[in-house]
Order: sequence, then structure tokens, then C-alpha cells
Amino acid sequence: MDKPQIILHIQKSVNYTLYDAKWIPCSAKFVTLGNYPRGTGAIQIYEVSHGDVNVIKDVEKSKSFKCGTFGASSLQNRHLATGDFSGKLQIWDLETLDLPIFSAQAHKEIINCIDGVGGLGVGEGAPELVTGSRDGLVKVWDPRQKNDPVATMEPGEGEAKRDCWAVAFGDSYSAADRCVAAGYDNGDVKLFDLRNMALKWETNVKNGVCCLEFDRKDIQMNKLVATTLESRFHVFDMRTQHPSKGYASLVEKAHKSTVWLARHLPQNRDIFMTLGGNGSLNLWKYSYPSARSKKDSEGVEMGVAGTVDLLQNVTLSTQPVSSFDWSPDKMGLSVCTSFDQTLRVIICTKLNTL
Amino acid sequence: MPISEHEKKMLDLQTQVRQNQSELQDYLSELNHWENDIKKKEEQLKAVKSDKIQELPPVRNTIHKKKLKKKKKDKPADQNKPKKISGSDFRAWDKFDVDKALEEIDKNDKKEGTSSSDYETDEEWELERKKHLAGLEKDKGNEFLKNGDLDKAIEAYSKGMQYDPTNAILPANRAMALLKQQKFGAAELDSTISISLDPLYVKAYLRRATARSGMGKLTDAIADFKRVLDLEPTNKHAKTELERLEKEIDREKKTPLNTTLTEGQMGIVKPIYKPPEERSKVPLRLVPIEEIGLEPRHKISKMEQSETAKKIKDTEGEKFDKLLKTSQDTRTHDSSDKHEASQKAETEQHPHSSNATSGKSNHVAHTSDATQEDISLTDTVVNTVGKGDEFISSEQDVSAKWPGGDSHVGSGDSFNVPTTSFQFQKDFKLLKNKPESFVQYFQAISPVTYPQLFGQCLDAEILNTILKSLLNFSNHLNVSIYDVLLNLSQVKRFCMTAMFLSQKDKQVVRDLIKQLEESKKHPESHLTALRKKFDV
Repeated sequence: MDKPQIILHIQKSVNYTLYDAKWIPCSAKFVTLGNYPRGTGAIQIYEVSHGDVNVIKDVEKSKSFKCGTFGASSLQNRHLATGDFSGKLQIWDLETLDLPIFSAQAHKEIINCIDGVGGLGVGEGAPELVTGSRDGLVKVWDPRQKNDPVATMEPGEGEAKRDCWAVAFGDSYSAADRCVAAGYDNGDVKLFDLRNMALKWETNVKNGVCCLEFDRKDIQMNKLVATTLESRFHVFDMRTQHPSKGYASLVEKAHKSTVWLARHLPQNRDIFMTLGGNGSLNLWKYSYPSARSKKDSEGVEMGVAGTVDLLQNVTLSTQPVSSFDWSPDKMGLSVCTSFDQTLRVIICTKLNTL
Repeated sequence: MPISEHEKKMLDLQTQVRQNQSELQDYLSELNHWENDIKKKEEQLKAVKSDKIQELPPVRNTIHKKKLKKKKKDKPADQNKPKKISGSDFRAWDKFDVDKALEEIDKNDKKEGTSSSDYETDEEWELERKKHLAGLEKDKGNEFLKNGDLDKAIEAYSKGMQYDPTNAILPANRAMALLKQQKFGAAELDSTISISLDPLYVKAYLRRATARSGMGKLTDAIADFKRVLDLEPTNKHAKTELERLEKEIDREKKTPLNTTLTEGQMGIVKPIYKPPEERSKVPLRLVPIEEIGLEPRHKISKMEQSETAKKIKDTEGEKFDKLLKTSQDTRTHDSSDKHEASQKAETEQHPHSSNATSGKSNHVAHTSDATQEDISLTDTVVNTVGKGDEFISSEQDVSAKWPGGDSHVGSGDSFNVPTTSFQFQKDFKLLKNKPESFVQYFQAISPVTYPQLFGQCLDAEILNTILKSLLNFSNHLNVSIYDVLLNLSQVKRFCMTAMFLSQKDKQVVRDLIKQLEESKKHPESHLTALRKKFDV
């Protein structure tokens, strides 16, 4: 009866391929990134205003943009960090888009994914960006230090370099603690502890990992969602790590196609949206088990996975949905882009009653 | 009124749709409010941009030394120095003991843990890093230079200059490497850059001075050395170089005469030095050089000449003679000389003009002496042609005719007046079997230059040949035999050569002196002295 509604509020088609859309913190504006057919990059800023979106800024750059984040910039600056097709990491001041305020040749190949932490009052510690690339490397950057990453995660000698499709920051609850999760095209999920500069955990989810997201970046690791090819997603309970079994997890089928993304609602960490290759949006609610950990036969603590319930399902497009972003300021407001060159502002109602 | 289940479901759905609709309407109106609110909030945010600067934790690599690269470790070393040394104060940097500073920092670290960077902005920090990189490149370059790998050293310095264009040491060091490669122009330029960056940098002046002296810019080089001595009065290298250069300049001033192309009437060409910018821009001319004495044609012609001489003797026909002479001329001289031969007929009226043309056809610049001789020779020819009976009267006359006949050939073969003994000996080897050519060649040499020309190598063979030719052609000489003999006797070690003269040779000398006696141009005492010198 009280199921939340997913309603298409505004729809706008554009003349370039959309790869990413992000709400500008503390505003009714969002920025879209993509590439024009001639191989150049697009940055556009839109403002939502009385049932319509208006273009505020429209800039074309030499290289196509793949991904972007505001995660590492302060609320005052709201600088956008982008990764492009040529492997460049750039940071833009949205007021003056002529030249990036930071530019580094981060990778040899396309930057598939980017995440930021330490800015926006989210999480403790230094502002940091993490990028994952087709060249198999995951690099952590500090915007205060140009040209050199502060940390690099690369395959060991003789190991094949896998295409890195997903990166996510988490566990950033103190100045020193911080983790990076990275997902690869072969289904590997690796968790790097930046405090100890060591691999904390790794697993394989059998299919290429399209997206990783912690339910929150700035708390002790709680949950990690990994979406994969072949219409599956995994939810790991990250509170209790068993020495041999690792973290407890559940697997759920969804979308009947690739699950491209999972995004947690900023106002409620147990609700998240998954986006499918068939153009559908699924809203999920995670329910914790009665006890989140139990002792195994040898008396070692191990985690217990909860369950997920599908709250709402809606199909908006015939093409895969490439990005989705909840507005951090207005609950239920979100923007999503799909490969049909359309951006959509979506409203979810009744989220506060869940 | 009871309602069916189906109806109930429909009603529920209806209310839900209505509910949803109102929910959405509420949400949308709320959204509009929110849009306005957030706009205000955003403006506030922009207004208070210059907020308190948040204390941020240090960049990660300062915590995690494991992932640190070496240069990153060095950076805090520079930063944490109690007194910051400015980037342009190179002397202070030279004295700066990195190891000590690192130790100090290690101590500090133990005391108060990791300290964050002192630099307010990224730019400053970046600048400092680049300076450090430039220093590393300099060290690399110095190492290459030490090992003699000049190209790599230059490359390293160039890289360093890119990192830090304000560093005066890098261009100066590159100049050093360029100097070693003899690239003086580039070295001068680099030194100048270095000097412009640090006008008190002594090494740069030294290197520029060396480069300039290498390029022959002596006065500029001296100015630089003087500046070095101003800055560093004890610099030994500058002192010695300065003295050397000043001497060199003096020497140049003393011998400006050397720069004249020819000396006196002798047509002696001396080498001169001109700096490249003063040199003539006229393209060089190709001077055709023929070798004489190697062509068999001349031998044949000589044979013919002697044969014709005999024939002439036999026939004693005046007209026939004339005919023969012209035919011989056409046979012995090639087409270019034919022109001359035809001109010979005109020489009776215009001896000077003919001479002028012959002088032009010869590529050698004749000295006035030589021209004078040419005239006399052509006169002889003309005479002999004109008066056939005189020409055939004796063997002596026939041989006397040769220089006239061959004078054209000889001048066509173009021998320069020798200036060195080597040149003379080379020519002598070619000419010793051709007395007529040799006499002509020898006459062109001014007797005064003999002592200088022969030096210490007037050997008996040369002396014999000279004396014999003098005797044989005494009638046709335009130089005084006395002068020749006197000057020959003044050649170094002449007495040694004279001692080895055979009786036959001495007879030649006696004959020559007798001729002089008969001419009565010279006082007896001079001739006696000459006899003594020739040991006869």
C-alpha cells in the first residue's frame, strides 16, 4: 500500500553520449559528463527549476569524460574531479571551466571509475580521489599533490592486468582509517586498507564487477554492494571479517541484464537503487538479520548476511542506464542518464515512510 | 451496501492512485520551495567563501613511508630547514649539507612526530620540488662530465635548466661541456645566460673567456678575464690566461704587415689570417694547373726542334727557314698557342700589346721582371724570325733560340716564384733536365732571397745546375751573374757545398767569373772575394 513511487519528473535528450551525472552539492543543479560523436568531451550544468531543466553551462573539451565526483572537494569550492578517455585526471572549478585547476596523466588508458572522499564534510581525513583504469591500476590521489599518486595498487609481477571497472572509498571514519574497494572485469573484488597499505580482503564474484559502493563512506565499513554482469548483485556485510571465509554476503538476481549501478540513498543507508542494462530502475531495501554476527564451530566470529526486498521497479528506457545520482540535499530527488542520450530527473516518493 | 471483493480492490486502487497523486503534488510543491531555499543557501555559501581554512590532515605519503618515493622523502628535508634558503642564493645552497639537514629532521620527527608542509600553496611547493629535481639533474650531469660523456652531460643540464631556469650553475656547467666539445659559440651563449642569472658567478666568466679566446675574440676574452680578477683577485688561471692573451694581441699588432697580400715586386704571396666575418665573400675561383715536364709532347717537340735545327743548317735557305719556323710553331703549340703565334707577326709593331695578351692568357700573375723578360724574349724571337742568317749561324744560337721558343711553353706551364725551399726543390726536380725552363724559372727568383729560400739545403746538385745554366745562358740573362753568385755564396753552409764542388764544376765558376772580369762592371776586389768564397 505504502510502496514508494518512482516517477519520471523531467526528461531531456541531448546530442552526446552521457556517461555520468552528479548533483552539485548544496544546489538544485547537476552536472553531466559525456562525449560528443567527434570524440570530444562534454560538460554541461543544468538547473532544475519549476518542472524543467535549464542548461547553465555547456563546455566542450578535447577529451571525452567518463566519470566524475565531488567527493574530495570542500562544500565551498565544489570542484568536480573527472576522469577521461585518455587517462587524465582533472579537477574543474565549475565557475571557470576554461582550464582545469588540477591535471595529471593518471593512467595510460581510460579511467573507468572515480570516487572521492574527505571533502563535502563527508568522512574524516585528507581529501582523496581514487581512480581505476583499463591499465589495471588503481591510484589514490591527493589534490594537493600534483603528478604523483599518494598510493598505487597494481597487480604483482607476472600477474595479468585486469580492467578495473569499479572503485569505492569506505571506512573513512577517522583521520587515518580509509579503505578502497576495487572491482575488476574478471569478477575480482579487492579491498585495500590505506592505513596499513595492505590488501585487506579479496574475493571473486564470478562475473565482471560493474559497480561497487559502500552504503556510507564515513562510517566504519557497514555494507558493500557489488553489481555484476549477468543480472546479479551482491551485498556484503562488512562489519565482521572471518579469517578464512571473509565477509558474509547475499546474492540477488535483478534486471534480467547487466546490473550497471547501485546507489544508496544518502538519507537512508539501507535503501538503494540498482540500474539495469535493460533501462530499468529497482529500488531495494536491506534488512538486517536478528544477529549480525555469530560464532562458528571453532568459536571465531563470522558475519551473517541480511535480506533485500524489492520496493519498486520501473523501466524508463530501452538502453542501459549509465549513471544515477541521488540529490544529497533533497530526499527522493535524483538524476539518471542512459545510453539513449537522455537525461532524466526522477522523483521517489514516500521514502521517508520506509 | 456490501461490496464485492473485486469492487473493493478497485476502490483501493483508486484511493491509492489518488493518494499517490496527492503525494506527488505535495512533493512537487515542496520541491519548488526547496529549489528556492537551496538557491538562497547556495548564495550564502558563495558569500562566505573566505571561510576559516579547515585544518586538513597531511598528504598521505607523509604517513605511509612504504609507498614513498625517494624525492618525496627529500622534500620535507628542504622544507623543515629552520632558515629557508632562497632559491637564487646559490652559494648558500652550495654550502648546504643535505645529510646533516636530514639528520636534524629525523631528530625532529622523533620529537614531535610528522610535521606537515610549511608551504601555503601548491605552487610554492611545486616550485621547490622542481628546484630539487634541477639539482638532481645537475649532479647527474656532473657525473657524466666526469666520465667524459659530454653529450649525456649536456642533456642532463638541459633538463635541469627546464626544471629550474633560474639556476645559474646549470648553464655554466653546460658551457663547460660545450667547451670540451669545442663548441665555442654555444658555450659563450650559455655562459652569458649564466652570467645574466648570477652576475657574480666567477666560473661563468672564466668559461665565457675561454670560449671567446677559442673563437679569436681576444679583446672580449681579456675583458672577461679582467672581470674574473676583479671578483677574485687570486684566480691563477685568469692571470696566466690574461698574460698569454695580451702577448698574443701584442704580437698581432707588431706584425700587421703580414696582412698585405704581396710583398714588393716579387709577387710573393704570404698567408694571412682574417677572422671569418672579415673574409671575402667572393666565391673562390678555380685556377687550372697543368703539370709540365710530364707530357711527352714536349720531348717530341724538342727532338723536332733539334732535327729542324740540323735541317736548317743543311739547307741554309732563308725563305725555307721562315716557312719551317711557322710550321714548327703550329705543330708544337696547341690551338690556344696558335693565336699567340699569329700575333707574333704583329709584335714588331705592337710588342707591348702582344705581351699584354699573352700575360692574360697565362693564369699566373707575372711580376714586372718577368714581363720585362717576356718582352725581351719575344724580341729575340722576332729578331730571329726576321734575320734568318743570324739565327742559323751557330749551334750556340740555335740553343739560344730555345728559351725564346720555349718561353711560351714555359709560361703556359705556369710556375710560381718559389717562396719556400720545399717548393723550390719540387720545381727543381721537374725542371733540372730542362735547362732553358730552369733558367727562366731561376731568373724570376730575386737573388736577395737566396739565403732565405735555400736555407740549409743548397746541395751540390742544385748549385751545379744553377752554375751551368748561368754559363750556358749568360747572354740572355736579365739578372746580374755577379748578384747571383754573391747571394748564392751567402746561403748558409755555402762553404761546405763549395768544398764538394768537382774540378769540372769549379771550372764553370771560373769561367763565369772570367766573364764578369771581361765585362769590367765589377771591381777586381769584389771578384777576388767571390773567387775565395767559391774556393776557386
